[in-house]
Amino acid sequence: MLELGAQFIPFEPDRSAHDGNITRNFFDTSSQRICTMRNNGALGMTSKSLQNDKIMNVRTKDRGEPSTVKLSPDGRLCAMQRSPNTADIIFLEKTENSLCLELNVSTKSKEPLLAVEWVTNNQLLLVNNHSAELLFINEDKKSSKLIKATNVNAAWAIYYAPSQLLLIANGQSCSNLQPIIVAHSQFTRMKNFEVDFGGSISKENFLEKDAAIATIYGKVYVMVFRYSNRSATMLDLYELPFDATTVPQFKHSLILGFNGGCGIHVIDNLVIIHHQSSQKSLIFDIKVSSPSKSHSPLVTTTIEPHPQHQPPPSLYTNFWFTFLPDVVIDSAGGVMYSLRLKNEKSQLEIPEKHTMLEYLARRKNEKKLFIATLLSCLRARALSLRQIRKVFTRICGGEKELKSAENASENVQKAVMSCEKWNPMIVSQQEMQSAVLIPLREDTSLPESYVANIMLQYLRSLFDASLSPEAYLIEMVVETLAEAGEMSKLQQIVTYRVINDSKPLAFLLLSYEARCSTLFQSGVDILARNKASDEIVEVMLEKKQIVDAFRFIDVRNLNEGLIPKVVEAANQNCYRQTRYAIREHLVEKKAKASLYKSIGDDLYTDAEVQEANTEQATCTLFEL
Amino acid sequence: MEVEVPGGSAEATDTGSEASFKVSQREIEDVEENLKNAEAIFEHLEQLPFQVFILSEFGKPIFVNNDRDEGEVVSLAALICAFVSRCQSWGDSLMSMTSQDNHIQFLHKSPLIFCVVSKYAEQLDQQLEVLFEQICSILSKSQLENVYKKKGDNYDLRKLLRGTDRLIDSSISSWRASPINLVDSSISAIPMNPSDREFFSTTMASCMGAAKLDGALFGIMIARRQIAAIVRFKKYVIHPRDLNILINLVSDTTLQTDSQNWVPICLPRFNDTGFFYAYISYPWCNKDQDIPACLVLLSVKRDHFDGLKEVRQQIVNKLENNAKFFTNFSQAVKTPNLYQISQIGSNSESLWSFLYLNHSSRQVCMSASKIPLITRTERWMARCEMRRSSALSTRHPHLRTLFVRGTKHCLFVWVTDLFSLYCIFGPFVTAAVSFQVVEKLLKSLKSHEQRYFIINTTSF
Repeated sequence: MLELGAQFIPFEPDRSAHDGNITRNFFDTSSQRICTMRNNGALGMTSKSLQNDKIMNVRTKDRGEPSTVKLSPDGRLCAMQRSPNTADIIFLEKTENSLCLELNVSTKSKEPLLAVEWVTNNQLLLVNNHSAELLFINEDKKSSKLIKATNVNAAWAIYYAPSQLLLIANGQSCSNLQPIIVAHSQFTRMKNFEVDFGGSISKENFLEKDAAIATIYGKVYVMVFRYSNRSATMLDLYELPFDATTVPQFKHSLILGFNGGCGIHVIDNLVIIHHQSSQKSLIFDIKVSSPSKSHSPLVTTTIEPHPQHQPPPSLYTNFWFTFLPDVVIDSAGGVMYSLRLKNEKSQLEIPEKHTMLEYLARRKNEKKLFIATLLSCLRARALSLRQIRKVFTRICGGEKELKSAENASENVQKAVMSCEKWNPMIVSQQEMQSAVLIPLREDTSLPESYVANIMLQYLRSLFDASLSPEAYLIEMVVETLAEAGEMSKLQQIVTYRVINDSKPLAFLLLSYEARCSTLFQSGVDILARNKASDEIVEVMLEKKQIVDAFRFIDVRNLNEGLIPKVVEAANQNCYRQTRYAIREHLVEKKAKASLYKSIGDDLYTDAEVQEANTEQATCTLFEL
Repeated sequence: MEVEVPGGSAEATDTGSEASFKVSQREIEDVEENLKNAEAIFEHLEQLPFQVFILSEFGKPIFVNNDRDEGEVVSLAALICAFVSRCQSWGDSLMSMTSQDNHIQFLHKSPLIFCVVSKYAEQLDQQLEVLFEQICSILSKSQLENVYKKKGDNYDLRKLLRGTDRLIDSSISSWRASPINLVDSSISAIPMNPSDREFFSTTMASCMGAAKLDGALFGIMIARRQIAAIVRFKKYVIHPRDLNILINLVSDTTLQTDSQNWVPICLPRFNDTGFFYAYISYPWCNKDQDIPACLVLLSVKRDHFDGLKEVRQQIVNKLENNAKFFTNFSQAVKTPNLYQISQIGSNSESLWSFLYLNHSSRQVCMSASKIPLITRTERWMARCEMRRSSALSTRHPHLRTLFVRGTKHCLFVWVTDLFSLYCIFGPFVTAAVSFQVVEKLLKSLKSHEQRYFIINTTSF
């Protein structure tokens, strides 16, 4: 399920040659570039990245071996730490093919530096034991200026560039973490918090290597390895709030189930832990696995190399270095790889279909795969109706949890931190219809009632999400219900107006009258609610309910335009008694005589009227 | 052996098996024919409005209407008898059977069994009782019970009832023709001027009283199956059902000459063991005048013929002497002027027909025929609606008002302790409008009460 090296880039591995030439490599996590320094830059410095092909090549003075190399976001400046207390700014751009100009900067107190980080293209952050300072580097004048300084008490510091977040560890065992946002030339302190790293006599201090920062599902988490002598290692996730007043909270605990060296990646909101000795990778999805705080791995798998690497590189070696979010550096082979998810394999890796769909629904750019998988699961009848509805609810975009997560940073007032937003997968009704529902309907091996139930669940999900179903969808649901013979369900969704009234729907229902007579009335009711009086009259005439049609015209006070049609229908279908009643009624209403002229005045002859009068008056006995 | 061969072809065609095959075929044909006959009979029965069978407890047919084939009647009579006696053997009694639109009602009044097959389910039980009373009126109940004891179980009652079939027939016919009054034990009064009716009654009462005939109890003037006037001796009363038996009797055209008749008749509601002697005459049924009015004088004494003849003559003379009355009277009888719906006033066009029944006097008032209820079928359909709603209100006594919108017409029923009113309205009337019309109608009927009803029965 994990594939190594879809993207890769080779570099010159570290070496210390006998001829005195030394090659050193540095990975800059902020700019995601690997920098190769040959002879401390005297023979050249090369920086490469997986994201773009631009290779930077410069030469610098050899002023000793650097301990860190950091490139500014635009790649014009490089910060290098060659001595514990100072950092050198190297101006890369203007000195192609010659030695670069340099500028030496340090903190006021000249204390040893704990972190050197680029905040913007020309703002450099320096952190030492006592303070954090923000310097402005003037590229033209080759000078630096202190913009802002703040006092901190730091044992170590890490910087998370995407959110411009500086995390400082202090306290007795370095387990008190202080997040600081460095933005708009300001330091904004957030609430500090204590983490539990499983401290013991053998392990007194919380170390920089046991902490990492990542954005998962639109929230920033500090990830902390918690070791324990008794049980297996855990990875605890602390959620950082977006504002400066809320205390960060322990949110999730990932159960790793092993001890020993491991690497960590966060790819597509999944936390992936690689365990070296067992050569396994654990994939955690904090949204899918369980609603509680502790999570077991969703998938345990092994990395596979991309087939383009021949012979395949050895995996999980000692020479591997992993960097967030997805970088693997093979220091021995001199290759930087990216790791990628092969979600199409999830069907094999995640046996439980509902979980698998939940998993796929949360992946980026996997809509096609998700829809295809959903269809195959539905075809195989692998899901219960309840599960189907859960999945539907998710992809309708109606789930409240998703909505709030999406806009979490916007909802919080006075947000000081920003991070990458997570957009849940939304499948439109049209996509659902064309890619899932229609194929299901056309699948003759499936019982119609099953398909109808699936559609009802989808309808319900839309309803729950307060989305109005599209007309074509309703039409299909109605047709499917009718074909499945689920007339009572159809009746119910119409009666309780689960689906919106529309004239086409009304006519559809009318056409099903032969199969379920009560649907006829439902159809007429819809027409009535739509004030489609003319159509109702037509329907009644079609059913030869001429008297009812007239009553309806009366009640609705319809115009006289309809009357000739009804009179005509009466002439064709009614006894003279009814025709007489219609004529008298029109006379009483003072309708125009021309409207009912066709009924005629000679319905009853004088002779038979006379005879009837006599028979009635004399109580004449008769047989019919 | 050969027959047992499965699928045997050559062996199976020997003569013996062929012969037996033919025999069995013939038998089946016979059964089928019988079935067909039976089906045909039932199909025929289904189409009839009323098919009546009267038979003795021992299955001997006594009366069948609609001139049925004798053989058919005998088998059906046996069937009916079997049904009834079977249920009786269970200590039960068979009331009715229903299949789809066919309703069969039974009435077992020892020693007779009555059965009616009808499309209409309503009031069949009462109709059978009326038939029983009709037969009682000819024989009296005590005589009916005795005749089988004296003459044996196989006695053919038709010998005693000879010549009265047409009375039973006309009684059955009246179920359809006259309003529901007959089975509802009610009568209708012929519309007359109140003063004329008053004069008529007092004249009859004074003549009957003056004759001082001990045992002459009632004097009744009947015309067009309706009552023109009725007088009684002291507190004696006559039941509407008995009156209907009399009406049925005097409407028999064979009696309608200017001669006089002296007919013994039992009025079962008055006394089902004894006989009245009815002096029946049609005073103005001759060549000069044709007034279809019939004067019936009832006495319990067999020798009152001459006395009543005298009374009759006095009454006729007195009536004829009052020229003004007589003109009005002959007019009222020749062409009875029923209640016209237009009398109600404006907005009454939507009312097509009504029937008003006064509960205390058991008299009905029916509207004159009105367009669009003209043909017999049209009128009968309206009547059926009324019959049905009448049956409905009998079954559900709490039902007081009912408004039904039908596809052909609307039905309005109003039942109170004093009256029942059944109205047929046009299809486009609303309940509110129909109620307004009905209220007006009731007011109008109240103000013309004496014209359409006999309010007080004059006694002598």
